[in-house]
Amino acid sequence: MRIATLGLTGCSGCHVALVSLHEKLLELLKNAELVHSYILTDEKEIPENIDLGIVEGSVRTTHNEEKVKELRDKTKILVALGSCSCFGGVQGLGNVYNVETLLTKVYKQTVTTVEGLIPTKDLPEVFKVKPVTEVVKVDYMIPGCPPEVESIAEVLTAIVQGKTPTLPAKNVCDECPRERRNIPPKELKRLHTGNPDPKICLLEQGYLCMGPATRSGCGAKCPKANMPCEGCYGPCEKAWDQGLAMLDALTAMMGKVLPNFKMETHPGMFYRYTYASSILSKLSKMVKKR
Amino acid sequence: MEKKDFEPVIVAFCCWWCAYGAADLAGSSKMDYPTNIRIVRVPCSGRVDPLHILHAFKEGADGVMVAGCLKDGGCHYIDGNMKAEKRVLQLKKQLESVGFGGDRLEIYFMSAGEPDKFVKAATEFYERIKKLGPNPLKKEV
Repeated sequence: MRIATLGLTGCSGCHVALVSLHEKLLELLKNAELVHSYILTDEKEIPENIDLGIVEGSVRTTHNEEKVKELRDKTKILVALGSCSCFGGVQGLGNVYNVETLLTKVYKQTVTTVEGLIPTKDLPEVFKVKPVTEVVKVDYMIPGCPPEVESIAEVLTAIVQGKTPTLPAKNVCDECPRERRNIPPKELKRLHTGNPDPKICLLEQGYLCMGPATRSGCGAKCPKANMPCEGCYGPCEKAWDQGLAMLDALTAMMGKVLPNFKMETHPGMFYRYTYASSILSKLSKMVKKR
Repeated sequence: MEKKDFEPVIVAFCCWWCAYGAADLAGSSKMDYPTNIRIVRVPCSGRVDPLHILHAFKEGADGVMVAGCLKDGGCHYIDGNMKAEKRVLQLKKQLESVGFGGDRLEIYFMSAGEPDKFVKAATEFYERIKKLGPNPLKKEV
């Protein structure tokens, strides 16, 4: 089996997670050959006849789009690795603004910039962030930021052996050991304002934990370490929009809190990893197009 | 489409116990209300998920109304209508912020014995949507 990996707009963290397979990687590569990988091999062009393509990162430029389409043409099975390729990732939050505003901000208006210039020469065009799943057909998704090493190993081993891999369909709360007492919180809190009780549900203490609207698979790592879930695994199986699912969960439990909830924080809190693929961003895009 | 000929498509999520009963009674007492209202019966208005509402808009509904039991203890399931109200009010803000318009979504409260209230809500909402014009996401027919 010939394997190729591709990195688009992203942080290469998923490739690092892939390499963290350690001994399992050797096992995996027993029957497989890594023919193209931008941080592991010295191959510049994507070779022909690939059996398994793994793509990390979101589509942000025309170059990204071209590369991922090329990989799709040459590979039999395409796997989206990480939340960027599945849902758009953190950089998807940039879709709240238009591209010109972002470029001006980055190249002209930062504090240390004296005389800014937006580079244009010989560069691919930049557009709004799209997840890979919207550009080409993806056969399997491994969400996470980065995905857990165990789940990468599980999915890749299953594919190499010719089986169909599955993802857990439940939410993070299902794996979280914290106690729920069904007492709604009195106010919303920020993490820096205090130390959460390590035994009681974070949402009931007023910390905005994305657990109810996030797919499990991580073993509730963040809540176990006294940090609210950020929602990096994306929405659960049947819910197709993470932020709306979270809104649904919040209104059910937070009696008086929600009217004071400010809209400005909404994408950053509810859609930290999925804004680019959210229904709200699509609505705003379609409304503006007409 | 000419604004004059525009006939909106309105989806109404009605709770089984009150709003659907009111709509039923309005029908059997031969009261008139706009035929543009498409009623979807739900067990409780608290069942209406933001995902359901946005799905209706995505598929081209011009307006969505959610109708539940009377406030302050009217709900058959204790506080389902209050949850629905919070969801709808929050979602209205969100729809406003993305430029879609929060006025296309509204929540009404009524009891099963108030068909006049249902007729009034339906007519009022129909007129509002007719004034707003078609959903910008509507697929061309």
